[in-house]
Amino acid sequence: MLEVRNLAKTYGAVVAVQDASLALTPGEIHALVGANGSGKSTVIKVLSGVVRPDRGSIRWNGAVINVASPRDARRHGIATAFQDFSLIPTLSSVENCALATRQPAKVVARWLDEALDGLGARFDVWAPVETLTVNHRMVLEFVKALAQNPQVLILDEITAALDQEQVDCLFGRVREQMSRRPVAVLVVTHRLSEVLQYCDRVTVMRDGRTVSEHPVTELSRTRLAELIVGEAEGSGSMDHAGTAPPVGEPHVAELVQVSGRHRVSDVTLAVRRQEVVGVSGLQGQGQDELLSLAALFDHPKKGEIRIHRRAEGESEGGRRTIVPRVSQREIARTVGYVSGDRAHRGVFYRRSLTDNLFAQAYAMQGMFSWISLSRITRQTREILERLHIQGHPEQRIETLSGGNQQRVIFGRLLLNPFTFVVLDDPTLGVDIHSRRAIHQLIRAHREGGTLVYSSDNDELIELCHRVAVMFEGRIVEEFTDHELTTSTLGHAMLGRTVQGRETR
Amino acid sequence: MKWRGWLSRWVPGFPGIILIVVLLTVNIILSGTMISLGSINDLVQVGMPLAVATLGQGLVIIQGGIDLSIGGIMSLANVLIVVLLPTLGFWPALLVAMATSVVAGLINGVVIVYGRVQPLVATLAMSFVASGVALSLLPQPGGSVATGVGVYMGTFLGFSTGIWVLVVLLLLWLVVKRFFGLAIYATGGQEHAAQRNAVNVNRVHLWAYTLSGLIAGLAGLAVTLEIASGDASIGASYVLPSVAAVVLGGTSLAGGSGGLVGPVMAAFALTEVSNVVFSTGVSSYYQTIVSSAVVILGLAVANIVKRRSSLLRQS
Repeated sequence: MLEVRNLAKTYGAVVAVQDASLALTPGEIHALVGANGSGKSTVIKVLSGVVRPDRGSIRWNGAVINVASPRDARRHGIATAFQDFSLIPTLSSVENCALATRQPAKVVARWLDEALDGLGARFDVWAPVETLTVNHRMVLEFVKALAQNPQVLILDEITAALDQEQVDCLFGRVREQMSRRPVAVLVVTHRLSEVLQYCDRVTVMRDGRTVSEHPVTELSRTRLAELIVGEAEGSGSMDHAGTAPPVGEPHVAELVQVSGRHRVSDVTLAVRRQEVVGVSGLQGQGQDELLSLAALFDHPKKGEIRIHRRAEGESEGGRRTIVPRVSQREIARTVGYVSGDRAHRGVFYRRSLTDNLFAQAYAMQGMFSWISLSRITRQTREILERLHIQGHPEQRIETLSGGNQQRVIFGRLLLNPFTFVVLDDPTLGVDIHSRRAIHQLIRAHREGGTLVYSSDNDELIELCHRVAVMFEGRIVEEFTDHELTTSTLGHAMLGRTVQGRETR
Repeated sequence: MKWRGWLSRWVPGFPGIILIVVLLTVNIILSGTMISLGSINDLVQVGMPLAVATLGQGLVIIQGGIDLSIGGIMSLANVLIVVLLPTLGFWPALLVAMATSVVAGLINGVVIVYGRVQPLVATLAMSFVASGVALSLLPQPGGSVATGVGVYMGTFLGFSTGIWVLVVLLLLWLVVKRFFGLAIYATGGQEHAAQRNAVNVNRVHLWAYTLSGLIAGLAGLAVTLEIASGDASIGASYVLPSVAAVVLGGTSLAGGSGGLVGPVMAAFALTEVSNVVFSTGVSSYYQTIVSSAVVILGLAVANIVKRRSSLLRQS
């Protein structure tokens, strides 16, 4: 029996797991379920030795074991199929399995073809993994983990890119292995039908805590969804935007039957001036692609995106429509974008507050235009004052806390009257105080409309007039006003998953 | 299905091999004489230092780094052998030189792994240190190593001893590949994925840089036997050519792919380029320009071939 007791892990200021306990029994398939960001992945990473916990212990048959690295995990017979893979892209499938199982490549080549074939994946096992499709990689990741003949097998959301038949075969293979040897299996999944159909026990996580454990036979689909959403605890409703949705205002952005290159298909969505529209859904349902289409970073494969803005110097009447193929400068002047992924998409860590604030403005100016340093420094001071940030314009932004950095980035939106603002998880990893300040900024954006994605449903409810729920690249439902609650959103996200499985 | 995978794994190494064949042919046509064992032996002897240096460079590049200290270590080994030869005799001098090279490589590894210094910076620093020490030991080029040359100039079964040394080194690489190979490729391919597969990536880095140090020492030996004297700045001209040879041999600078046979062939091809350019009678002022142009052309062709072969795979 593998036990996890009172696990806790924080990344900087972000609490990923507060208190997680879990018990896996050999011969059982145990599901770990929870909403986005409830801490499942961190638990998995701790168990497989990728991440070291701040607190808590792992016990094997009562004795504490030390899993400080993947090598330790391997020594204790723990094998993991990772959602974000543990495959070496430059090596072939055969070599990847040889690396994991410590078998010679020739031996691997003898069984690999057959093993993959049984899971509906036929491909050249000598081709580098970087040339494979995501589906094939997923199957390979699973086969590789199983081939290690583990005592504890962890499957971290690897069914996401598989079809129903493959999932069926996959669990069949797991059962077969369990009949030969008592393996303890831990499955992380968003698909409730998978939990009910293939698993024996389920542990529910919410906000970094494991809240309950149930035998699957005692659960219904609705009950499971309720447990994940956590509606039993509160009434499930929260205050949202507070202001009435702007009915008569003109549209600032329209997406008409837009399909993208990856997931997004046939999405129609319009945002009015002064309106805040949210996008929600489980991870990887195409939200990020929708956002980069709306922000005009990508061109749609099909459909049309129109952004309207007031022509320069004109009043209410005259409007100009810009479409994705206008100049970058025009786009930058019209569409604002802020991401919560500061490290990759927001902050220039080693530059000053002024530079970070004006980064976009510099770009809009053109390469050789004159920029008055004294003017932008003065403007920076004004904006810092408005944002209530203690700091000097020349100070490096990395000296600020994550929350204050994000507020400076939001300051960019104050420099220019954007008609359309796209926000990608804008308060990710931000402290509660800054989060409130950022919400005020978003609400105060009266000149244009806002499209916002958040991994946190409560944030969308608080912030948005209207929330669209995405599933498999489509918008499956929209909620406004009093329909917009934690439970309706949660059910739409998960309920659709259930329906989606059934209609296949 | 299977041969395609096999092909795609070997095709990237071809440009080096093709280039050497083409160049030898061109040389035959230009010089008007048939290719002889003697001319191949000559090529091997002249190209030996670069070929050996390329082996070490290739190893380091495959595991995801770069070694700019190869030249410095070559100079140091060369100078140590020459300076110690009169007092210690050939073999003890050689032993000291090799031991020093290994230590230099190990220091590279330790600084990179535990000091978390970028390979480029760490090995560049080591190259300054090594050539600095070499220069302080032998401020003026000089000395001689007549005793060792006899061994090196000899032949075995008709081929020069150099060829046999190279064969042994390549076989050694195959052995390394058999036992550590996947770990080396995995570390270079994607370090965090390698870690998840329980590969001790720190140990891989340490071994690679240490081995590269040793191999640079051997390259220093090769250059000593070729010029038969000591020169504290001799190694510098081998650093960038060794990187070029690795790339020309189909091993990506990004790491995690390729092999060492291609790069060694490419190293000889680079030497042969100068030979060919020389025999065409191009003024020595322009030789570098012409041979560099050939290298660039070779790289472009290598890239096109590589892309073609990956298209082949996807179809």
